[in-house]
Amino acid sequence: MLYNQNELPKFMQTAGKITILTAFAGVAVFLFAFVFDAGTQQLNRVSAETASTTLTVLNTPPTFQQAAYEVVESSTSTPTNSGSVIQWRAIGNDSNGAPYFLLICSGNGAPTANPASGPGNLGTAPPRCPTGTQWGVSAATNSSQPATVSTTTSEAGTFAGGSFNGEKHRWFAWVCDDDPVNPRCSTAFSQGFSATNSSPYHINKRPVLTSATNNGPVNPGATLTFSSVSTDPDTIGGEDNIFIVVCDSNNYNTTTNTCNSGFLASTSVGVTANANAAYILASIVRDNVYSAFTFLVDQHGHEALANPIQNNFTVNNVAPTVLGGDITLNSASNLILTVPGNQTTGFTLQYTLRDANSCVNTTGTPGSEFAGYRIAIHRSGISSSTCNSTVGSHNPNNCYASQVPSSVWNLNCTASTTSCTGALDDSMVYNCTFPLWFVADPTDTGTPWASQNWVASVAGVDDDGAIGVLRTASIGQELISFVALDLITASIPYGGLEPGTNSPTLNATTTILAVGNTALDQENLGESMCTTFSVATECRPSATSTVPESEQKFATTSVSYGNVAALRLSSTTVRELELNVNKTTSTTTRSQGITYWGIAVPASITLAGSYRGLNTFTAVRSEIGQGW
Amino acid sequence: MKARRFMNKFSKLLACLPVLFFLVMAPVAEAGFGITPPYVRNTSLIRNSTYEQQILLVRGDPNTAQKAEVTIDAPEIQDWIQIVEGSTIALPRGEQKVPMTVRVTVPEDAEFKDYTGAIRIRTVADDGQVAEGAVSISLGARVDIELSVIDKEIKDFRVRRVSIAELNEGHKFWWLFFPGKIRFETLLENIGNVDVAPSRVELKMYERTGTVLLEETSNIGKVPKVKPYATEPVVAEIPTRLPSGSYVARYKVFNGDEVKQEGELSVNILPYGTLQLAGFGFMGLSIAHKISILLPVFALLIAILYLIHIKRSRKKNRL
Repeated sequence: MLYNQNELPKFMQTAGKITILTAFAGVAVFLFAFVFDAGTQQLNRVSAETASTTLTVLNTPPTFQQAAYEVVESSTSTPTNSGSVIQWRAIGNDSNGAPYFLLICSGNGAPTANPASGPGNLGTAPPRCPTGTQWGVSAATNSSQPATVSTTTSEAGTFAGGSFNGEKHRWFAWVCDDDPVNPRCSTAFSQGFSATNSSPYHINKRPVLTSATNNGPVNPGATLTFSSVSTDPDTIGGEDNIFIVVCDSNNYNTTTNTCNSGFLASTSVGVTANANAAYILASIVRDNVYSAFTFLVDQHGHEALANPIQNNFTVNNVAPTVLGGDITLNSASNLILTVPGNQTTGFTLQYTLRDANSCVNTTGTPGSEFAGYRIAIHRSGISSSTCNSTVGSHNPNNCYASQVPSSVWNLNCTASTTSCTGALDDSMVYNCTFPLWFVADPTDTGTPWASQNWVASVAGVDDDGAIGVLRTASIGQELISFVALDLITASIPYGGLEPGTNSPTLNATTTILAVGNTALDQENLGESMCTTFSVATECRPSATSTVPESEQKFATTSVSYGNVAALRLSSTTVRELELNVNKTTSTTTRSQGITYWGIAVPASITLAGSYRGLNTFTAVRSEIGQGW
Repeated sequence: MKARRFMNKFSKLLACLPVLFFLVMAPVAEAGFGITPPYVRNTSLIRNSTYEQQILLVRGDPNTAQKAEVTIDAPEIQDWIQIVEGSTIALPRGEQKVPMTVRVTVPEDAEFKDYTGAIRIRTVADDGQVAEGAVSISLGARVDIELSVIDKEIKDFRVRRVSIAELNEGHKFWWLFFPGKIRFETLLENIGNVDVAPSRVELKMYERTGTVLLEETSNIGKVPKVKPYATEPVVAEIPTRLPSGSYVARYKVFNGDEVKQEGELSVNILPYGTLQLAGFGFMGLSIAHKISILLPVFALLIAILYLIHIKRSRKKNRL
């Protein structure tokens, strides 16, 4: 339908528009009032005026902004040593902006929040655990700031009665405020947020060291074992391995778990009880008592309360030793006797004594570890068990023993001043001189002892009187034959004879003495006799004034002058007389050999007087088996 | 009158008694005489060789001057033997022992066989006087000569002494380890007739107590030789890789395959640099270390030679 608007009355022209406008205006007012809550007070007033109602808005509890956790992991593998500090940390949030407390309890019962005395004293009334053990409560902490709880664990007492023998402990963390009116704790507890920082925490108890010993005394170079009676009370995850650490003084470092200095030994293989440690002594150690302190520690570096137990050990005194190659007899030269019938001096012996207790004792004086020696110088056929340096074994023929008085055998030894350089040196060189008697058995070719030689056997005596084993030199030296003779009288006592007569028997005697170390035979030569004889001017042949040497006869017995056994003396042909003078074996009584002499004075001799001449006795070493 | 009667009686007595007095009195002798050794012995002489032996003449009482008269009684070899000091040797007052040197010179045409003889020595007063009215006695001694001339070489020795001086331990230089040098000294007596030295010296090194074997080693290089009949020290140089410490060395000295001497000696090895002694150089290095040095050197040489070769080839081609 179409209307002609211009034809209608005015009111007809505006009808509907006002209605719509009014409707829109009403809606607008409504919306304004709804959105802006306009007129609330007026309405309330109108209400109050009309009804009485009450509403208390309560304090809201703080909440965990960050869950509680162990600051340092405390777990089976990384427990907290007893006596160490354990820390928890969390961040709490209080909707009122009030401070809060972090509370750690052993149980999960809702803690008791305590009200502060007034709004001005917020943060002064910490909460507490309702039952069980309260591990700790933090100081009041501003909302949204981290709160930390610290407490020191202890070996016993504080946590006794905890679960699992006090070794493992559950913990429950709460955050609480101390609203004066309505203090609240968080509605839920926290137990950490990862496997490594969550409840429970673990206490590592100290290992228990009951006693410590060692198997000393031991010799230098040996293994000394330090033992302990020790246990570890921890059981969770199995017993802890325990170790002992041995220091030479009480200077164990609990941080590095070893000695600050003077480390001796430690357990090398983990054990759960009775730990021990091996200590290999140096090869050269003075005999003495040495300090040792035993410390017990578990695998988590937790030390026993009994640490340290002093456990000194003793290093044995050992006897000095000698090596055969370290003995040099007579500077590696043959032994040569040069004094007939007496002692030849100046033979030498050099040897090195070694002692595992070092060459220096605790006095520090070089060579002080050594107090003496046992020396035997002997023919190698006489063993060192027979010729053992004792007085009874001494025999100037074949065994010289150091224990005889110096008046019997003057062995003189002095320590070298250049050897023994300190406590780490085990050796000392000695230089000796000694004499040998003329009877000392020869060992060179042509003697009964040609297959032998002379050797020295040496043992050391230390400052504690320990005597080593006699060791014989690796290399011996020959003692050379010494053919020497002496005479009791230096001339032949023929007496007086008339020309044309002779000694009826060989009754004049000469006696030779064996003053060397061999058996002897004797060769004789002689010159003619006259009254003017001298070595330079021999006798002129003369029937009347010279007695030829051949008129002299000699034999080993007093046979008659004409006996065939009587040998004629010659000036050119040597005649050997098998005297077989025994080798002298006594230093005081020499073996003797007697030659019997006789003479004939030719009838042609007319010149009376004292005739003189010179016979030569030549010493000859006897054959083996004759006089040795 | 009385005097004349006495003279007559004395003249008659002299005429009746042409008696010879050979001894007025018997003086006591206290002066022994001896020699050592009583022989000159060598059983391995070769032609044209010379051997000397010293013999000591000794007296019990050297308070009077004497002289020794020496005679050689060795018909076959009289010309070979010489007394270096002469046939009369002074025994001065105060000298208790006097050496006498016997020199044996074997001629070129000497027969190969054994020779014997004797040298006799007698002592007489320096002035040649003998006691009045006595048959005096001169003391002497005989030196036996035993020589053999042979036509084969004898290589033999006797070890008279062994010793090991202190040494420095070995040291590392870059990757090379230069071992310590053990100087094993042997006093060697050549008892053969040609120059000789130990063919090998072996050491087994034990720890101080001699129970644990630590190292076996032997000499590097040759040991100097000793002339026939001489006694001289020779040194064998032996490497060791042991650290400083005290050890026991068990040694063996070889002559060919024969062990001439064995025994034990102590060895002290000191920290490197303690002694001013040179250690081993290149010779002491292990084979691996030697190769590690030689290989690059050879490679370099080959490279240089190759370059030279290429250069020459190019030059040739250009021409």
